[in-house]
Amino acid sequence: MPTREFSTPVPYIDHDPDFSLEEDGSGVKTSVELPGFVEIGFVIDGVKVPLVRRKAGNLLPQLDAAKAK
Amino acid sequence: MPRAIVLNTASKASLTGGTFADTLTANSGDSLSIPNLQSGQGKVIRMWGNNSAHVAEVALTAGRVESIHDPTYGVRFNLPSVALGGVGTNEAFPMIEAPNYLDVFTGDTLTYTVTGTASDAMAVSWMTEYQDLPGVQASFANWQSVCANRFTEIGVRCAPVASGTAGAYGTARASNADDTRWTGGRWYAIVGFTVQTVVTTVSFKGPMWGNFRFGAPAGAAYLSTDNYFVQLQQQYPGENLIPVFNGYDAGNVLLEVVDTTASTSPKVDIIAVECKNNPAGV
Repeated sequence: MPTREFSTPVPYIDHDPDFSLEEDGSGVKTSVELPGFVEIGFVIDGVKVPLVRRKAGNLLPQLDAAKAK
Repeated sequence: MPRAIVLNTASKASLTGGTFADTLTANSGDSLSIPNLQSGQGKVIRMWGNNSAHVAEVALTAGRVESIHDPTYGVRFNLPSVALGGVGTNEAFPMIEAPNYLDVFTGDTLTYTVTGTASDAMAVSWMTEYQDLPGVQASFANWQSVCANRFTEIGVRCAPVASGTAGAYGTARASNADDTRWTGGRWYAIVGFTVQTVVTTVSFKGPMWGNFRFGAPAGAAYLSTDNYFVQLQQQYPGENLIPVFNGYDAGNVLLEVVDTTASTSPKVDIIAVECKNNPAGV
């Protein structure tokens, strides 16, 4: 018998970009956004429970290409 | 006898797909050809690879039967690239591991053909040891020498990013670009490194290593890379395989990353033993 009841799980997908600090020729540093990660999971009782966290570097261009069709 | 340890990578950003239908090409600055060696012979001491999105098989062939059995399929390697956490969570699987090795000979050329899935990216890296490569006097030590000269230990952040083209080297990043604590005049033996995110290959390059790359896998099958070069040296007890450089040269020690996922930033922490004297003795 389950001892605890949970809310109905709601799927979510988040994009969590990464960043790299890059220095130009004159020594000025800027933060450059990288593809980072995509996290897929369920929200249960208001808490995000991730099931998969995968790199976004190849996935985002695939999604963009599919969307463009 | 000028020794050298050389890392090479071959890759393809988008496979055609099919049974051994694709051939990998050498990455920029790397080569599939075995250089002209004084001894005529070298050995591949480690090899690893990955496919970006599906399982794959690699056939390694060369011209010499003493190196690779036959020119049809040679040595075949499977890559279970969707194992463990699935796509994008592995990035490097073993193909040749110590104490095994592969002999290679002057004038030969390695060929990697791949059975894979269309549009996938593919990369294979390998480290070759040359006992006598003319023009190179690479600075590598053994663990006993490092311990004998040990002063302290340091971990230094360097954050190279993989290329936007999957399988290619990303922009080189100096070992002092993100953390400047190397001390000029002190000697550093790189015992290994750690990463936050798995990548296929972490490459080191500098004039103290003949301006050739050497490096290591940093995929899921290799997550204990903190002692990588010490362990590699201990697997070949007679060889010096721990890279050494002087703190004055920190700006010339360049890190590069290969990954079968585009634009990954593994955020490398280099772990080094600081020595007052040169443990490599060259």
